[in-house]
Amino acid sequence: MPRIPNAFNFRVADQTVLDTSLFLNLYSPVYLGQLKDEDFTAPKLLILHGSPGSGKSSLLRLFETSTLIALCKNQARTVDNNLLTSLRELGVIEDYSPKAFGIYVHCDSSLRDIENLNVSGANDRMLNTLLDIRITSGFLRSIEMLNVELSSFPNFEGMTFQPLPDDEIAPAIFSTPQTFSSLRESCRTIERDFATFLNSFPGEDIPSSIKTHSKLFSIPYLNHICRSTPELQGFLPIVMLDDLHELYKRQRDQISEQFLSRSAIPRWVAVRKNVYELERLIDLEDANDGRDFREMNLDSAPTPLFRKFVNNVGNRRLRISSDLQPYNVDDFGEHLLPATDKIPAARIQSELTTLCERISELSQAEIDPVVDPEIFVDELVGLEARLILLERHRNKVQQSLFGPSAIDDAEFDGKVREAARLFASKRFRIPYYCTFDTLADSSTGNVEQFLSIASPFVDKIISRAELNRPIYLQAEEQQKLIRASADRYFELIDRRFDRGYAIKQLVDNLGGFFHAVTYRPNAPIAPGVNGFGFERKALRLFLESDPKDKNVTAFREVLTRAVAGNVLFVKETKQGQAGTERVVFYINRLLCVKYQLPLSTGGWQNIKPELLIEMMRRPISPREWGKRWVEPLLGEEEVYG
Amino acid sequence: MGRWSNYFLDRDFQGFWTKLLHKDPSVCVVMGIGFDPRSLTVVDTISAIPWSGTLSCFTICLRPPTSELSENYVKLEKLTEKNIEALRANPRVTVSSYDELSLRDEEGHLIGGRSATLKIADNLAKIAAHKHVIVDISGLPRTVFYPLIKFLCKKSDDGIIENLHIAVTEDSDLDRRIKSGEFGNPDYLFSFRPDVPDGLKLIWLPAISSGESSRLEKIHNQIERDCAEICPILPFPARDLRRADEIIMRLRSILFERMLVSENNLLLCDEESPFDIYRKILDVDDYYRETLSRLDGLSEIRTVVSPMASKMLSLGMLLASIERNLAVSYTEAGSYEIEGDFSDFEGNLSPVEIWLTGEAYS
Repeated sequence: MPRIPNAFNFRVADQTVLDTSLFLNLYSPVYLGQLKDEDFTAPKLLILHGSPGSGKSSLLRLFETSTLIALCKNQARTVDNNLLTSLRELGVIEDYSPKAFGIYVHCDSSLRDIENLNVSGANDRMLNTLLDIRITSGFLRSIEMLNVELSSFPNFEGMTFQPLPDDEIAPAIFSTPQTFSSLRESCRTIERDFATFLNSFPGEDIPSSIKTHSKLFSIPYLNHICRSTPELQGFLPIVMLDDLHELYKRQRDQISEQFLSRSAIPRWVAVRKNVYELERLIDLEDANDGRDFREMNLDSAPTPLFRKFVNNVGNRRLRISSDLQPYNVDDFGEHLLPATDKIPAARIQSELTTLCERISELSQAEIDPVVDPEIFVDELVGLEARLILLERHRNKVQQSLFGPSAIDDAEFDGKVREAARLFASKRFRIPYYCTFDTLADSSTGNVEQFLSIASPFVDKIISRAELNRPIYLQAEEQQKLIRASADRYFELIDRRFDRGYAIKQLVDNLGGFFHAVTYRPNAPIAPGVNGFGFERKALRLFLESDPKDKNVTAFREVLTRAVAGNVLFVKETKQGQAGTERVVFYINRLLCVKYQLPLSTGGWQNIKPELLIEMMRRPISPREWGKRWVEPLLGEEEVYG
Repeated sequence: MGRWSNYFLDRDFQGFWTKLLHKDPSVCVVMGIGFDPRSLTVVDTISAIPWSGTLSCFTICLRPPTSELSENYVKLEKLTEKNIEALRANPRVTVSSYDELSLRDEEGHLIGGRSATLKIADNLAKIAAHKHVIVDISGLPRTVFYPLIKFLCKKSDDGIIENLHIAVTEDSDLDRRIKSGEFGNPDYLFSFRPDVPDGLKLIWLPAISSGESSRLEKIHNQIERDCAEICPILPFPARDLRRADEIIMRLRSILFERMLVSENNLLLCDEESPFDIYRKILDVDDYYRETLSRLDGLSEIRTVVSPMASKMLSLGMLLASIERNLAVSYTEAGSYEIEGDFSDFEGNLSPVEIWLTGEAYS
């Protein structure tokens, strides 16, 4: 195993640069529980959805033949029995051998580029051919590996495969008897010829070995040979197609349609959920009942499950990080201290006086001066909450004739308290973004983002350890590091994403707007706003208003790309009648840190598409936000920024 | 011994063409025209030479995407228009067409190389009618000039094109003022896909520069599944002798901690000549083919290059890729942001002449 100073620098767990044993050490089996028995037995297609870095490819890599073999060979001394137990329960491993094994096919640009070949309209049939060959090659490689490593198929070279029955009008490769060797040789020749053909210049001929396939035959063929070949009985190949979104839409539709056909061979497809254009995105409701596929959304893990998952991921990486091995660092969370519960009164005297004066003014009651040298943070949060409620009462149209009405205890709800905590953090400079849970929450349900935020934390822990200092991070240090990550994330938006400049401009305008709305004195949408939404119907009407209009096109593309890159994520509100539900776009939680917003989802605002387009185009001043927000801001400028 | 071990490179572009045009006045330039003021340097230099003929040009017009929202788009569009007008106004130049080329299709995938090659293939007879064909890569993106030069080189080997030249105008100050962004998904360039099936281990040779961390990471993500060894290429000697150190300092985290690059794998190549990097890539390719083939499971490897440094280094990488059929993985910028409007650009840059095929080698 290579020496890895800080294992958090491996952003994804499926890198081959990590050898299989290291991968197994890093892989967290928490999400494995989302797989069901039916994903191996029922003829339904399984679609793994998720944003980049959500763990789709890692899950597929776990089922690759080479990984399962490594797990079986090392199972006596494997670091994680949970992983083995889970795989045994799913029937993937029996005794000391994999019974199900994945055939990994990456939807790379070779498959995609078939669409651009000048082959007189035979592009879709050529796609079938290359996919058939890749699936079959992958299967043969798995058989070879299982034999070499576990002696599962003695004499595999001589294994003979029966052709597909006559009722399938199959191409020659699948309709003639084959031995293992002859089939492997045919696949190799066709793959090589495809590579040459894809590199060819205009006018060059199609190599003779490439025959076009009218449909995908590899899946019925694998099913057929697994049933008819005695040596293969009891083994279950799983066809795993990764990164389907890399293909053209037409190709995705073609493959999806064929993969939806029921088959005893499980088919798993990993795709970025938001590859869809906006129109499809807003149509994606829970409409898959009764359809021949099951969706597994890796982005929608509930917060506690995701926290548990990244805690597991983090602790595994801490154990692997060679620079920390002498220091017995086992639990990442324990090294991230919460903010102190008391602060010196002298440090916040001026801010506290301002706060108390405002409360006195609104409540027409005196506030006792603070005499203790230290003051509890909870007390400050209480004062902020009281001020928020007083500001709300002040804004009520009909004021009481007998002075300000008393605040009801029921008004001090969790949301107000959370807004007050946010306000107090800002006013009194108390760290708000600290502790492991915050680190997990700022990752937007994405393990790759978690690793990228956590990596500087680990660097800091390592440097403290090397200087012989206590190896925990104070809340202030954590907040500084997480803010630096947020700034870095924001700065790179224009380089990382297609349409990045417009996305960055939009985010910056939204951040300013959300900040101003969140920090209005009466906290109108407690604990804060970090999303914008549209009525589904209105959004659809806008997109259909003039699909060729430059602004509509840009609006669609910018939002789609932002969602695909996880800069924005979508949630739907279920309230209201059909068609009046809202589609809400929240900004990435790390960006909430940049604009000092709460990390929870919930608070959002309606923003008209026309204003959003302007926000994508140029910096928008607060005066352009619309009447509803401009008027309250007059006289509140000190709150903004 | 590589095909271009003995090469022809002349830094006195004007002097070289003054002599040649008096002897053979049949010349055609294949060029890209966009916002970059270097687009016209080669044409302006040649047309300033007193000779009897006119210069034929096949231009590929590169405009910013029309759905672009930002004000930057207007600036780029104006500069592109200005360059096109200047070319139109040049009485010594005959331009066959101003065909526009989209680098990406509607779904955002790179298609510029394939489309440009098709366009040139359609006009091959007209181009080949000239004794000398110059590809001016100063205003062409790598996704376009890589397949284009490979195609023309092949046609030259087939005897269809007599003499193939490359012209390149470099200006690091100008490069610094152009900030590229919005990188799409990395991909193998058209005609530079691996010519062996997937699953083989690969040796990756990225030519890197300091502001390329996101592009480097993106390409790495694409190929890492099969990557056995990474040999980053740094510019040394370079005009700024500290450039290589600066690049390492800036990219150290991604190079040494993420990609686990061994310090012994760093490859230093002369920034001013394409033939140094060309020769070194051939050596590395030979070395790994020979040494790794002795290891179990690595009987066959493939070398992949990624040109993210200057045009001169990219050109050397291209020559090695053409000679060895190496794969080229790359991600093109989707947009450019420029500092100022280049009104202070004096245009007194001197292109470099590289004679690639033809009489010079006979």
